[in-house]
Amino acid sequence: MTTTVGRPGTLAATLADTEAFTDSAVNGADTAADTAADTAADTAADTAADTAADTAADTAADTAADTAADTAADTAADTAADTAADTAADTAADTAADTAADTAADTAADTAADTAADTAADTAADTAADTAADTAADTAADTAADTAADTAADTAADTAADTAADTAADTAADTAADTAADTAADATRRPTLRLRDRLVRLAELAVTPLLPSDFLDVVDPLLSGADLRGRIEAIEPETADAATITIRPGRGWRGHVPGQYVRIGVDVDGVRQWRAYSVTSPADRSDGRFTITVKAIPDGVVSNHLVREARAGTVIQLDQATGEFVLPTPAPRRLLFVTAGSGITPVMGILRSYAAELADVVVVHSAPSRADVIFGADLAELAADDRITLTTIHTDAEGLLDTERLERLVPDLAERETWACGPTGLLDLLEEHWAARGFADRIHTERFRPTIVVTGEGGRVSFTRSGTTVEADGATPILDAAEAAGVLMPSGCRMGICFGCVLPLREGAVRDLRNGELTTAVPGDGVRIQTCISAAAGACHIDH
Amino acid sequence: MTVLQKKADNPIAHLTPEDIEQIGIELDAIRQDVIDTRGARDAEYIRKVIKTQRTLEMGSRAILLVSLFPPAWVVGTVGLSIAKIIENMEIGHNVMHGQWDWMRDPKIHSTTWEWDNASPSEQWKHSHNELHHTYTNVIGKDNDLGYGIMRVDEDQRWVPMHLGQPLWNFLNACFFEYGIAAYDLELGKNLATPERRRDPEFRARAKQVLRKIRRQATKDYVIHPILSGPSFLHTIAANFTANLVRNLWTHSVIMCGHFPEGVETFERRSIVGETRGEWYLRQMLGSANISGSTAMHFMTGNLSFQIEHHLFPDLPSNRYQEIAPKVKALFDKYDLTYTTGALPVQVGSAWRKIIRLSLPNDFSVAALVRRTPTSRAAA
Repeated sequence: MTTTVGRPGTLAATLADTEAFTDSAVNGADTAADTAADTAADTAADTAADTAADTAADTAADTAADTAADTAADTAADTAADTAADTAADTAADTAADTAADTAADTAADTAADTAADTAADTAADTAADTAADTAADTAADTAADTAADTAADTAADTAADTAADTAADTAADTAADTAADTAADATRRPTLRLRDRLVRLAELAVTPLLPSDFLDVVDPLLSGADLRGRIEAIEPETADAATITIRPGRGWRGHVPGQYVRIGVDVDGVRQWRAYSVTSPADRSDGRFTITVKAIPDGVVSNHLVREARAGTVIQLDQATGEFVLPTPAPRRLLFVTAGSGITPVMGILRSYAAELADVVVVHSAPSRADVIFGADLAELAADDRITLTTIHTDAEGLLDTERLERLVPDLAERETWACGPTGLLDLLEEHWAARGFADRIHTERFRPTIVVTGEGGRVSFTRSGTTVEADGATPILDAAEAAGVLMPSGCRMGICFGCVLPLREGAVRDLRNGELTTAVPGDGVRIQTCISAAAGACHIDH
Repeated sequence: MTVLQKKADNPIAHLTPEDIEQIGIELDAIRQDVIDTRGARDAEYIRKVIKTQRTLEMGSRAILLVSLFPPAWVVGTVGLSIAKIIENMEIGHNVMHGQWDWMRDPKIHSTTWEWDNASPSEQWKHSHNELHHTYTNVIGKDNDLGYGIMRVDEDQRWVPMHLGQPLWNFLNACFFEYGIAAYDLELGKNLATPERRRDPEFRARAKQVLRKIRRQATKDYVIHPILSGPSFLHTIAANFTANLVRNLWTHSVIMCGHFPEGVETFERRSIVGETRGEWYLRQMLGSANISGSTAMHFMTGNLSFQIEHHLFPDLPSNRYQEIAPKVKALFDKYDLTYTTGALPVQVGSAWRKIIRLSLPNDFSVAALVRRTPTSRAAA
């Protein structure tokens, strides 16, 4: 049902999730720079403390120090020189502070390190990161820390400030790591955590340029530490074109709240496709599995694959469950669920979890015919047990549900907190009606978004980061159109062979000018396209 | 050999502009056939290769933990050499070409891949994918022609430094990954003047390379040796050997791609306003294949299908072998020379050329006598 949600909050979350594309990349050896910079000094201390052998300690500490410097340099050079400088300098400050604390010169060290940090940060903002690294003020913070410990506060501050003035961001990180290594023997905090970090760092050094998780994947794709994945354990038909899929999630799975959805990445014909499906199993399932229920929609690449082709044993990609189509705590006393088609899926997740606790639940569900009702038997059973008051509308025979009929079916509609999930037409109708009656805040909707992207010739191309919008025709490569509009684009061969111009298409459709092939993306996809041979085939959002 | 445009018997003189465009259309059709059938089978292939390579690497490194014992040293070193070759050739080079981008798997993607090599993937992608593949064999534009240190074509000007090129080439082969890194940095050009040396962009890239080399060296020559305990020195030797073997092998394969006799070169002016058909034709004439077994093709990263690779650098490498007969048929149809030969023959041919061209063109009668029939045959 590709329930990518229309609610701005969740949509934003979905988009944010997809940005993990770059970050989680195998070979992105330089992971998020700021994180690395934060942890580098700690890691150095850890590694040094760990090793009995001096050689090992030195080397590891040096490497960590270098990594810190590198990372700071990367960050500074790339986007946020000042941020890197701040981070690196802060680390320097912290470390210097620790050292000084041990020798009862807290104030001196704080002052010295802060001054060093500030100056380094300022300088870094103005200088190229690599120049800073070469000038190597290893002495700067060493001096700062040592002097702080040994001499009066004033001298320390002055020395640090003077020396640091010649240095820049990544040298601060360098020094931070050096200092950390020096004082590592004193470091006794959180020994367990430190051991784990040490081992992780060692593993990283041993497998560079890959990541330890790349090798864990070879052993078992569901291990913790690997990317979150799941294994399909069973696929059971619900109706002729819907099936419930039982998934055993990997070790990192944090569970779900009933009503939430989960994004899954499935390889169809070798191509990774991401879709969102509501979780239909109760939240407290004891075996750790969860289920999604998928209805095959016409031309739906993923839904048809899952319902008809997929086999138990297949490993799929997972995101953590998310979504705001959930009941508040405590749950309202009187509830109404209006659903249509596969819109029943999040509601079934809610009913299976809470039906016993909910006092007064009305469910109005629409489906083309009796045979099309997903969870028909489960709903009938809940009704028979008096857990819910159920009305099922077979729209082939009875026509679509309208608000007049809904008012007749649910006379106390105004007193019920309502959750609705189904096609856009139904939800629009309900929201208008609730608004007209003056209680728009009492209806919560989960929108199904069709994955069919309207395609044409040309279209409006917007670049989400620069905020530029370009009108591009169907015969002009997006690269050319963007450059003509002054967007600074990555580019290379301009003939589709070097992949130097690849950018993520967040939403929209493009046509390959070489063979006319269409590539479409819906929010959450982030399909990488070659802008030099792709023309707009509809409105496009490109992450750049 | 001399640039195609200056040859007395130009090997494409018989082609009309319409022929050339028709060649382009037919090659596009071959490409489309592969794209239309690209799918789960191919995805399974690359994942299996990656999994096998990683298993082999992990296993070899595990065995090398006890490399003190000679059998373990031998087995581990052989395994690691093979793992490193596969990683660079069939996986790294091809992933970075975007051959697997269509799978939309961020873990096997040209924008995220980093390889086990001194050259950072970002710089390699620029010098290789963008410059070499776009300007293949154009004198003065394609620096792969001799990597800026050697003379591999008569039309490249001779300078006395070229006398040493058989030695340079041998050293380059031994330390090829560093050669590539230096080449991607355009070290020769960028170290030439103080202005270039001080250029912040160059310095940033140089630092990136040094960082990559440091990480690589820390892994192979510090971390794994330390983990090996008493086998410390043996593991260093094993890792050095594996890198050396990988370097020699990749250098040989890559030399076979564009240096053997029979491969054409092109004038700078000849590519002005080049059509897609003409670009295809230049790739056809500017590359040479290696014939051999399936295992040999695999170990070259299917660069033994250099012609097919240069025509379609972004098609999955496992498909080159499959389309080779169709490409060969097209060469025959248009009466063009499909240059190919066994590995030792092609390596020998490339080396002979390097030795011959270490001397000026008109150095001796003997050299002239040897060269004349060869270039005729190639034409």
